[in-house]
Amino acid sequence: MLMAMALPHHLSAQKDLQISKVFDLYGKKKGVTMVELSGEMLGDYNLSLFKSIVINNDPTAGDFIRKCLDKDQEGAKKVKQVISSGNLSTIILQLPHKGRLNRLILYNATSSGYKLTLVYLESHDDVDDILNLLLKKK
Amino acid sequence: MDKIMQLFSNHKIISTKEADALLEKYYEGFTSAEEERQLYLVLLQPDLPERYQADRAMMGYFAGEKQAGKPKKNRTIIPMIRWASVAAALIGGIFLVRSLIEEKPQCYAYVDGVKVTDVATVKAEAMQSISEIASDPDEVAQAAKQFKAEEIVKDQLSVFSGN
Repeated sequence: MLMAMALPHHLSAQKDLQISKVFDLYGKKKGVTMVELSGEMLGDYNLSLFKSIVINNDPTAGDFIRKCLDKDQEGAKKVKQVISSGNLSTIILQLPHKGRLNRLILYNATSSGYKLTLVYLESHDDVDDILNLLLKKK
Repeated sequence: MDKIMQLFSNHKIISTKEADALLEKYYEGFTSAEEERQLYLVLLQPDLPERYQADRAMMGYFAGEKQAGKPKKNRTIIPMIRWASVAAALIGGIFLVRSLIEEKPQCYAYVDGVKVTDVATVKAEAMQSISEIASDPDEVAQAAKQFKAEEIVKDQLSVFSGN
């Protein structure tokens, strides 16, 4: 309990998810790009945490991510899901709130499965605002 | 004639002569702890003769002084202070840990296992990963719109569910 109190929300909130294992396992591998931004670095986006990982040419990673997403989907709201040729192509999940934080998982796999992208976001803003804001800033 | 005096502790009866002897011994400083206790009980009795009132006052004074001389064990304040200090230390520790972690905004990327800390590069990588998901901006905008619509429908239907 004390640890939970001591840790800031963004650190404890993501660790309860299966996808945190994806960042831990693949983050520092070759062919992978992992990004973490938090605090004032995200001031323009009203996000409190942004984590992303792009994995190239690793089919086992795709299976692993999908298994993690299956578990993290429990209790989450599916904002969007695209299945292409029987495979999960895109999914956007709104996770149960953690305190006052809105949490989102975004996942995309290219049709060939060559490139996998997983993003985890935390924000005090509404889900639709987060998604729209990210698009506007592009 | 000697008056009979009663010791309340064990219902012993002593004469005034014995009481006087005990008092004399007491003032000379030769009484044992048990004799002092007996004398104290004698002088405590309610119908004590007038001539012993001064002795009772004296005995009471010394008894009180003895009590005062003993170091008082503060059974309530010390534990409270102890617990308050533990609580203060814990709360201080929690805030320290939080501030140490929170005050360090994270900004890094690992590209092929190599750590990058340049803010511009990290932000560019972040935007690149978002663009992978939102390959078609309208697609995500559509999702956001759909999400909002679902929320509105849910809110409106909740009126009928009685919640």
